[in-house]
Amino acid sequence: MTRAHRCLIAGALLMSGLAARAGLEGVNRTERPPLRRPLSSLPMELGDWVGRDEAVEPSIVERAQTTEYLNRVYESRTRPGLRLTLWVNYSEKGTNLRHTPEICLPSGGWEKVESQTRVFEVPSPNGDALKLTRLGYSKGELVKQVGFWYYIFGEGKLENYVRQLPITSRSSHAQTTKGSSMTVETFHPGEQDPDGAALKDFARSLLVALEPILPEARAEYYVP
Amino acid sequence: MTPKPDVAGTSPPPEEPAGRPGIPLWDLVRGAFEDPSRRVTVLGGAACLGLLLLLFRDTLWDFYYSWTTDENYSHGFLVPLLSLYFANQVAAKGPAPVRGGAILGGLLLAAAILVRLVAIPLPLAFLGELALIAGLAGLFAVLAGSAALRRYWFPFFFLLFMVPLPIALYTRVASPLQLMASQMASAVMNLTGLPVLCEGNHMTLPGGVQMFVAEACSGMRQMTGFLALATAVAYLTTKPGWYRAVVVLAALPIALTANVARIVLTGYVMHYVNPQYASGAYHTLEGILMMGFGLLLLNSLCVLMDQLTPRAEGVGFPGRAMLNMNLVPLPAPKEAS
Repeated sequence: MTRAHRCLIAGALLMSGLAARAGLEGVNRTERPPLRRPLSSLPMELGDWVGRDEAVEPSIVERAQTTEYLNRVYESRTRPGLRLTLWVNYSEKGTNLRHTPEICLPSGGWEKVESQTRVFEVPSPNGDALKLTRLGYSKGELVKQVGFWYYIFGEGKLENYVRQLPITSRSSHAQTTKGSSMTVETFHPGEQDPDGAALKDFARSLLVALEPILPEARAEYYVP
Repeated sequence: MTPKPDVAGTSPPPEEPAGRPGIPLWDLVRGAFEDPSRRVTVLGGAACLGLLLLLFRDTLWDFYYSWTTDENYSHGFLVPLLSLYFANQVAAKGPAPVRGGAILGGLLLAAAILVRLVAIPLPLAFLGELALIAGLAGLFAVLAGSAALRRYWFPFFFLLFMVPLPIALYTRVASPLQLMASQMASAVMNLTGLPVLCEGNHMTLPGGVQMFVAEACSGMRQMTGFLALATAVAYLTTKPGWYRAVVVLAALPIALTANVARIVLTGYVMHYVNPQYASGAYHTLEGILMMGFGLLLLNSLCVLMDQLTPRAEGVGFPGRAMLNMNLVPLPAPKEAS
């Protein structure tokens, strides 16, 4: 085979690749949708729950890799003394997805209590049920429970399907997601809500209030 | 040595006299360009390389983004330069015959293109980044032949060190390392009379002084850099295979040890001097000192292993030159006795 033939083979392969790429990009254009309203517009009253904003240390905000966040403590009117902390982290580039309870809580000395881990289904405003994970963590005598789910906005159905597969849900640093993303976490003492009824009640009200804030093109995930 | 004609029936240019100063890789390319029969390979190769980079332009941007924004991969810029250095060393052996490789290279290139295409709709950017390296190797094999790919395999392999790990994988590795480093550092501090309460990555020093071992202190940052450096040292040395394997494998415990030392040092500074010296520029300086400590450990290991391997004439330890250390060598076993 001559040198010219070798160049032609390589050139033909590459030109075909470029043409295929152009076609694929045309049918797979993805944007990173912003939130329709700021997170701060989330009502202070969610059903029976009344909230107040809590300050977050700048170092934590920086580490959370967030574009916009919300940190509130909601108190139940019907269950006196039951407080639940809500942490919502929206990231335009999906870089917040590295922060899941299973990664971040052990770094604070919390140990996972497998027996308390459950998956709950909560009715969402669009008629479907949203799945969320409740995890239990202990540190010495303290036990806390964490509710967790997250969204990826703007990605196509193919991406959403692939994310269900055990190959990779989060990719390299520069391209974690093709769309934007948001994690939702709730924290409360374990002994106050052993069966998860309070968490489900709060999540139900929260989903209704989040609806006008979230972009419409979204996929929901619950595995931490 | 008489140059052998290649399969295309042309003779490579006479080899440069040994010891001639210059850049062998550049001389090889220039020589090929000046030879009318091989000019097509140079021009066609350059055009194909341009097309490949165009096809992988997002991947190149991902690399740039990671290297400039993630300190774990700030060494990424050095990796292609080191690969060129290694390629330059290989080029000193002269041109390889252009024979075979079109099928193997074509398959490799086609597979790389396919993976790149798959990574457009699917969130598999990491595979796309690996595909760029495979594509470069495939293109090289098509243009230069399988013998050249065999000869230049290491510069392509070394490029792997510029690829950032997927976040999920990185976090799964870094988090346990982070916890391990905290626990080991606490144990050392407790053993040396500085009582520390360690909860995950939070440490409480006497007086309620809080210390947090950040992800940056997990050892991953040093590990990625050390692994690349140790692989380069292992490649450059002419020692036996076991020696090279130990050098590469040692990068992991050495990075962890250097990191534990850094955390212990930070704890001492916070307790015995002033907590303000445990952050900002001082903390960065500590990091640099610990990198030096890690290099010293790697070098010491090599010096130790040198005592176990027969000394070959004219063969020095390349790691020492790379590490730029001027240590006094230990006497060989014979001299010591």
